Amino acid sequence: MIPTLLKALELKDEKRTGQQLYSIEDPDSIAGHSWTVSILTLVYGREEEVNMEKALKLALVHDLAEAEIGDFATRTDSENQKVSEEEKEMMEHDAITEMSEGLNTHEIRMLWKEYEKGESPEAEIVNDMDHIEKCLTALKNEKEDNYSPEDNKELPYDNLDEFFLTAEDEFKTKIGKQIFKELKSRYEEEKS
Amino acid sequence: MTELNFLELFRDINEIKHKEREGWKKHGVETPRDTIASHSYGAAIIGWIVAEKHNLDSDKMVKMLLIHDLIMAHIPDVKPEDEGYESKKSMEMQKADELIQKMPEEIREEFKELFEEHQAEKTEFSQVANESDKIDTLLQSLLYSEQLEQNMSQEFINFYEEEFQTDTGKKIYQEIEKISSNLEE
Repeated sequence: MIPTLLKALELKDEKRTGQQLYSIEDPDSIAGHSWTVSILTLVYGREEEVNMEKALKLALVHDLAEAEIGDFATRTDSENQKVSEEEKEMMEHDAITEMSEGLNTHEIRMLWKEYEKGESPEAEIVNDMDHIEKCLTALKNEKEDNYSPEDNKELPYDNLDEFFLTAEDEFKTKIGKQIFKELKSRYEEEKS
Repeated sequence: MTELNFLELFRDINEIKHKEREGWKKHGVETPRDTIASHSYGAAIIGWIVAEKHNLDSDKMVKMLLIHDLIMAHIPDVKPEDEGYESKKSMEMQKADELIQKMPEEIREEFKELFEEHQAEKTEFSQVANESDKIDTLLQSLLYSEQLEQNMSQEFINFYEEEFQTDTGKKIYQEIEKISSNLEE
């Protein structure tokens, strides 16, 4: 059990690659991101009809496989993805199976699979809050000038637009759409 | 959801995400260091597993540990050996109240109850929650010891010597002790 817990805690050191790609100062860790997704789910999940307890556990495990295989940034252009979605899914599946066994609980593997499938109301709210967290962080980094656009000249989009573009069409819940709209308009204000 | 609450709450949450835990810096750990957010994440995962072993409600355990340090956005992270630790504790409850007021109305009562139960430290449940919190710190000290090739974990192990009361907690503590003694000095 201890070796697997130690493995899981490596998410505290694993950085969000999307933020690294845009040379954001002091990028978030996956653990910090996952905690924030959990809290957002806890606060805003009430607006939807979900089993909150299950949703929170989904939020905790949604990026757990990355302790083993690392984070791959989602890009607007799939050509820019480092590994294909199928490859990534297989690697993640193996990693989760191993961790589930190490912690002696099948619940982790089952919940992770449910999240990947993305069909249950709980998976939908966590997925939406995952994107909200990404945009919230981008808004903060834009507002606080935590990067220099000079460093990002080779990247296809201005400022931190890509974080919003990769989220835009993903929302399934009403509250997710509502918060996104608000965040995006604030981001546009910050940019100008 | 009023607009004001929405933004103020986000500000607090972001602050916690980046707020570093006290103590690691003086042990020479470079950034990225553990934050309140990443620590809470670790404690929640650990609490989940330990609660299952004790046949306790792991759903509630996860929730309690996710929010147990939420109030840290407003007050310095204090260690038990620091001066004024007790008065900080009562300040925590007051700050918790303020933060809870920014939450949507429907969830305030539940948050308040979870905070209070965690702070009371009387039940088996809150004992497991507290131990999970400390296990995260101990495991983190092992990871940093390995990374820095300098064993800092013994200090934490000594410090928490009397803290573990539950079977699983004691077992994990002993295992951590063993791993630590095998690390090179």
